[in-house]
Amino acid sequence: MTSWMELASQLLAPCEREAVLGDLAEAGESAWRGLLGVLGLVIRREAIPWKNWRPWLAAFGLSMPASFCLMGYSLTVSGSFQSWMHGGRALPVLMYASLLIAWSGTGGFVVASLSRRTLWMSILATCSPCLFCLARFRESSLPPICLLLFLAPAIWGAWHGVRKAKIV
Amino acid sequence: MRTVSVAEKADALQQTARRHTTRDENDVLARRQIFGAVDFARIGDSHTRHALFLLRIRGNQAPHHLAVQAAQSRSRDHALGSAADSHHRMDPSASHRRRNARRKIAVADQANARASFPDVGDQFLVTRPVQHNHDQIHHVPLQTPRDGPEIVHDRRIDIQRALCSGSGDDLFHVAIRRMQQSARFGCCEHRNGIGGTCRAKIGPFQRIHGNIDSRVLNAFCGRSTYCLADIQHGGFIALAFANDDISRDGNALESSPHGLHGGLIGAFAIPLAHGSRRCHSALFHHARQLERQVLFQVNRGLIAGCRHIAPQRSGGFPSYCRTDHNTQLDKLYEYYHNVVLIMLGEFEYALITAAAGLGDKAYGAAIREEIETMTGRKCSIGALYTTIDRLETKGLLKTWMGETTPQRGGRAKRMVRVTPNGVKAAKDFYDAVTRISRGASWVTP
Repeated sequence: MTSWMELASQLLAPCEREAVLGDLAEAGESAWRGLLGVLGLVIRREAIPWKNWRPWLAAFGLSMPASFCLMGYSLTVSGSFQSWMHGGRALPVLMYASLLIAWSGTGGFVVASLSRRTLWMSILATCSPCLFCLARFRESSLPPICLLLFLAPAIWGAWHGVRKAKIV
Repeated sequence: MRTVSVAEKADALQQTARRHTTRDENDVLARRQIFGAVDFARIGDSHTRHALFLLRIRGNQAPHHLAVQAAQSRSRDHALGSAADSHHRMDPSASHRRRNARRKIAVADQANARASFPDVGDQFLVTRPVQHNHDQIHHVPLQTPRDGPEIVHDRRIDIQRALCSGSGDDLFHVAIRRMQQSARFGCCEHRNGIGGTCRAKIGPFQRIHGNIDSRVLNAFCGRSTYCLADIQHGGFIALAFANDDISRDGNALESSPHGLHGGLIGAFAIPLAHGSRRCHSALFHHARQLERQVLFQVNRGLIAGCRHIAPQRSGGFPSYCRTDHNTQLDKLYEYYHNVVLIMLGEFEYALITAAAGLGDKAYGAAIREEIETMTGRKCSIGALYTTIDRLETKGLLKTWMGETTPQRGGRAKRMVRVTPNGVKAAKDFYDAVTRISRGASWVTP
């Protein structure tokens, strides 16, 4: 149980982890109570950013709906690419791909900029529709991975957003 | 002319000191300069013929050349300095026939309450007295054809209405070209209380000790305060007259005419330990007593302290009164809307109290144990550290990593120290609880 407590304390900042584990050791708390205390502190820490509107907007106002839209557009890009491979025009592919990259990158940047500390929740809000759609993907001509074409530019944009975001 | 310039001694941002100045480059204009840098001015006075000046300045502006010039009871020396002749200079003679006369700030009190006309083109731009005589305004200042339809020369004016109509119709918010308008209220009931802007002596705040009929001015912001002047919306002055016992609400005063709400304005206090003289051009005849150190904490709006002023509570809002001349004041309440009033919660108070009691030995585990001992309740480590962080963010605590001990498995302590603001916040909380609890059945007398 002590190892669980120390594992949970990894979610804390190093200085705080040091102080908390030291206090628990000094107080002679049991491992179970120590684990609960650490988890309580972690939850409180993680809950603080949610008092702001930005995490809510980033996770549920942007990430989740945008992932649905971008998945659909990923399928469009994949379809146009497939038609280009079968003798179609290349211009639509380039246009669609450019738009997908731009939208995905911008979306990832905005989401990460809005709330860096709650980016994990935005990632969950993005991934949950993806998993939902992947489980129900029935298109035989396209591989399921075509749904996730937007993820790469979105991650790129989020990475830049995290670097430039204000701490919220 | 002897002036007493104010220099701020700021806790964090700016520090200045008051000193006597003569007219050199550092001369600071009293009202003129104050209005340049100060957004807000209040005068509080709970005792007859003494005033506390409470000036509020913009938090984001450096209060450069901020000064209060006190009169030396000589001719053409005026309390808080005389009017400005130019932007950066002060002309105590205040030549009224120059075009710059329109910049004069005349909140004055003269034996001869007359306003003279300067150049023809500026005849509407001169300062004139406002006299109040049983709800009648005989002379209304600063009217222009453009801005002053509601203020008509030599006609009866319902000043209450003018003040209550909001900033647009506010008598003292009339912006007349580039004019630094001014006005003065007086009451004919007591001659000394009235002043006129005289020909060449236009001194601000001279003899504002009259028995002003509060029926007129109380309408502004309810009974909160009196508004005296404004210069191009750069600021105005709230007056608390001698016979005024009401409390002043800076929030109402500021938000009503300006629509401003907290954060923009800091606060500091300037005590004026003068009496007023009868039939004399200078109000503050002990001008040198104005020379004292005033501590400003500009941006935070916290008044660190000043002399000759002691806070008093009046109703729910503290009023300020001047104590004995030789009384040293070490503390002044700050109670303004732009000041972040920190009201502790119960657990925060317990934490601060425990930390303060532990002194140098205050750290997480010790504080937690102390709280559990005091309250008889369990204190979770999550609540403890999140509260410590919150209080540290508020500036009430200071923490740092301490030494390691074998007891702690070689881990460092997070040491805690209560800051002066924390002590004050805890004391305020205690006082509030004590006041609230007064008279409760469970409180033993």
